[in-house]
Amino acid sequence: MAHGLKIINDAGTVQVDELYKNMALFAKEVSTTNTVISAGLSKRTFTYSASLLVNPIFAVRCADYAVARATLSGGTWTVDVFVNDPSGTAFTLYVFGEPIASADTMGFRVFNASGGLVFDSNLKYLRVIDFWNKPFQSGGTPFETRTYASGLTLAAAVVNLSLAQDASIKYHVGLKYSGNDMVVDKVGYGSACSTFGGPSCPIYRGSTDIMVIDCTNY
Amino acid sequence: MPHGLRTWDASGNLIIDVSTRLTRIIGTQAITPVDGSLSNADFALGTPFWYFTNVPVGKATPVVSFSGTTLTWTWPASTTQFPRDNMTLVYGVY
Repeated sequence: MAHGLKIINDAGTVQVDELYKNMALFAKEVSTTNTVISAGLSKRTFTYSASLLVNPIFAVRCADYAVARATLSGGTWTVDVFVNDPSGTAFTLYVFGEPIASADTMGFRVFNASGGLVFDSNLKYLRVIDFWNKPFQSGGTPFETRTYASGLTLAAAVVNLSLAQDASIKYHVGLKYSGNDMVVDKVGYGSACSTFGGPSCPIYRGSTDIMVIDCTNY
Repeated sequence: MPHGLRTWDASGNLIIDVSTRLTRIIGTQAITPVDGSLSNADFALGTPFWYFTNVPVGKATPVVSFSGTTLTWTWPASTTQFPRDNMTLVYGVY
């Protein structure tokens, strides 16, 4: 006989059942950039232990174009938040990963048949509200604007950091918030073409995949 | 009467409402430097999303596409600037 828990909402969507799985908020960094990369481009670096942070995703909320780049080396995740603004620019980094049971002794928890924790009401789970592929675009600024419901605190994760190159500038795509909009444009590295590929100057036309996350009250 | 799950944080902020369609992770896939695909009926539960993690520095990432309940990853041509490597694909629906 089937047994367990299944919560279904008005729309007929299963919200939580014993098979539920989601990433949860691991860290929130309210910070500013502190390192100049080039004129109009700055960054700040964070590190996290890979023994605690598993399968992470990094989302940034910033009033100017920003993107997070993460690398794993040894047992440490190193995350650079690049912002198209001078050093001192404010941003918030949201880090999500495999859930770690909260220490709270109140709330609501669901376990699966193996005794594994699948839902903990004290965790702040990943809430994806949009996901799309942005093909390479040459020229035009901004690249794209998408409008969302009012009252949300949105952050963006660029989940496929394909490098692109337009004329002499190589760049990743980043996002900024503006009111209810999330706006997509370049986060430039400003490197001269000659320093990246030699005189033949190959042109990269990578597309980018973008995830918009609702971080309201996180 | 509305039904579903509603949760608040310790400050009284509403975190999950009865109308919330919760994001759900379906699985993870170890990616090697060859093209591949996987099928999972749970992709029909919502709109698919995915992300790569554990991507080595300076390595290329595959292009991901969906057709029905099948996810396919296709590598771009390997170059000296962007070679292929192993990584992890996390996928789900929202």
